[in-house]
Amino acid sequence: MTEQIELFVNDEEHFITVDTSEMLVDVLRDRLGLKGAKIGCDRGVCGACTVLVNGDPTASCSTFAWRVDGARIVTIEGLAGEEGALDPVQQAFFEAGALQCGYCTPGMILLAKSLLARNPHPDRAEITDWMGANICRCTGYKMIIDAVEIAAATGEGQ
Amino acid sequence: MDHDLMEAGWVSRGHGSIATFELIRPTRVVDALAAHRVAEDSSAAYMAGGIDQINRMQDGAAPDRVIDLSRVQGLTGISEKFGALNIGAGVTHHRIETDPMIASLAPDLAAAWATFGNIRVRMAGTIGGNIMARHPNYDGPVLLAACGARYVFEKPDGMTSLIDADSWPDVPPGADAASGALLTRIVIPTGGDRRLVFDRSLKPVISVAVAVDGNGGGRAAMGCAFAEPVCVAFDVGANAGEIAAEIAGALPVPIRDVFAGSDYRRRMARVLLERQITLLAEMGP
Repeated sequence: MTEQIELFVNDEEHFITVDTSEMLVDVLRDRLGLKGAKIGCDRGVCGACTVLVNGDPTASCSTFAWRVDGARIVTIEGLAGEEGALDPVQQAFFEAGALQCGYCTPGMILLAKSLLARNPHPDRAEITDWMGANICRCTGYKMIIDAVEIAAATGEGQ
Repeated sequence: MDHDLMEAGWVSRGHGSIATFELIRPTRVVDALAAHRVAEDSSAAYMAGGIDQINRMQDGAAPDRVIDLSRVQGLTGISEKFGALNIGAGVTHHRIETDPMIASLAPDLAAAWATFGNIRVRMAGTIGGNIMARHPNYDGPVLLAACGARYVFEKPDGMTSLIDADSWPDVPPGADAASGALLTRIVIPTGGDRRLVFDRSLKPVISVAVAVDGNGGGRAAMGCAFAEPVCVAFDVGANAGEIAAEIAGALPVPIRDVFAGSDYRRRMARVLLERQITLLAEMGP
């Protein structure tokens, strides 16, 4: 059974017919070609599939596509500036060396964006608590938290 | 999805394995209740935040019809009435931890709620879903039992039923789903100078919430250690160690799993109870 939905993904409007059982991550990756959202645990636990839905960090592997009908969605592809310029949070991850294999990185960056949008200057404890929602299998957590601190210090992370 | 690949273990069993279903998106409680009535050989399921319902479907549950509750009016309100907080079943955990009214009337509950899961879970998950999941490790029913909360269900026959949070475990899992009753709100008393403390530091071995009121009454609720939370009422007067020992000694046999044995869980129940009752006494009224 299908549903007709409207999505605004990275400021582009899409009208898509989805099966009721289809997950948002599959629409993003397989229909729209946005491969930045990764499928890790496929249970909404690891956060590799995190995208922003109306600004909220959301596990796209465990969200039915119809549930976000009409929503504004931001994927990692949507952060790039003119001529591929890095977003301040991406730049901070680069400066802090906050990635190893990189599989968790898109989800981590979007999770950090959602924090900085709400609280532009979080302290380290707040960053640690918020970023604890996602898992890095390389366990590079210190650099990830450092990166969010760097982004917060610039005041441009949100 | 290539089921050969799935069988071979190359693809997560959950991914893409959810069967298609009829979707109903009502806007009124009465329509949600009506939508739950399906033919005997069919099945229907309510879905709020979706975290547990989707997990169940990834584990093989295949309802013919899913009733999405996200558009149902009246499930997301927070109000104060007759000395009690009324929290709609569709209120997310994040709203409970950040709502000004809850922060004012039940700051201890809001603080405890902020420790649930992680920010993604708290933004999607709802108080109603936490209750209806009937997961032995979930914190909501433990806290609500300690607070003396009541669950309000609307039933397909038009009646409303109230169930005390501490007697919720007596309702057989699945009975609520089979009846089609819909949890619409949770009523939490806020008067009586209630103070609440919650310790989930030993999860998944045990979690303990203790609430005392200004009249010397106390309630202790324990999660993780049993199939459903266990709640015990006590008088605050006696020594904290004695109260804790008495409550722990009278508990049913805790579960035994890879995390801990039954005796250890009972011992930790006593330790955490004594610690929390002492803490509440030190906090004063």
